[in-house]
Amino acid sequence: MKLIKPILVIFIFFIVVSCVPRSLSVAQKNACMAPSANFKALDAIHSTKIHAILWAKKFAKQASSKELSLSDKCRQTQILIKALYGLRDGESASWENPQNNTSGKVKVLNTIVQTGAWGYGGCRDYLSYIKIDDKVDTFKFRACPKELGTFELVDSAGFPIPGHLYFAGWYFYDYRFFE
Amino acid sequence: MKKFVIILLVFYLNSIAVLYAEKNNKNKIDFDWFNSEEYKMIKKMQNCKVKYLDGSSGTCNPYNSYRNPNLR
Repeated sequence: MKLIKPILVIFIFFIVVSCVPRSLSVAQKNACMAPSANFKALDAIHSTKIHAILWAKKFAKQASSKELSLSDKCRQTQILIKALYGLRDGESASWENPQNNTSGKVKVLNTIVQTGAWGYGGCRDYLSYIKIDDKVDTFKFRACPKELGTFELVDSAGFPIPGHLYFAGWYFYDYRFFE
Repeated sequence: MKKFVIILLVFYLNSIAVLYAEKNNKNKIDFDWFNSEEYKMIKKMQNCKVKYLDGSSGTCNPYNSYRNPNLR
């Protein structure tokens, strides 16, 4: 009976670990890396950099939750790139897939104009909506065209926060850290 | 004890099989993503680097000019 606990722990660990990289690596392979469409996996990986315990909880959560199909991740990525490079502040882009009963939307909130090597100049804040069945998840991100090699921004408390992702010329930061 | 381990193993393999089956269907893109303007933009911007006059380098993202007016 003493062995049951460690076996259970190993078993849960294997299930959780086996779920994480595959869906993310497939999305990466197809360049469908919109942070909102891959948020739970990215957030779990991100938390390994800033919190020692939280990551296990997040890995388990993302492994058990419903996620977008690869096609829908690509649709979300498509409107994200369109929004970041082509839309003005206040404008939005959206997609809908009735077959999967899913939809998504990206709304550009503002662009920060601030000169100086350190700061948020050129960063664009945006809202991202993902709807799966009737559940809507809302994400807020800051996308920054940072110079190569710098991946951390200072949060509102003064701590360096690593980005969730570098993708398509942008570093993506979870906006929660800057409020 | 052996029974317990076998049940766990069967359950684990079963869940993996279901996941694989699900993901095989999920991993097909049902629209022309790879010929879209946005995909081409991603590929271009992902690896694009520029070198500035001071010798430093950065990404080709046009929004860099909001931070550095000399790039405008």
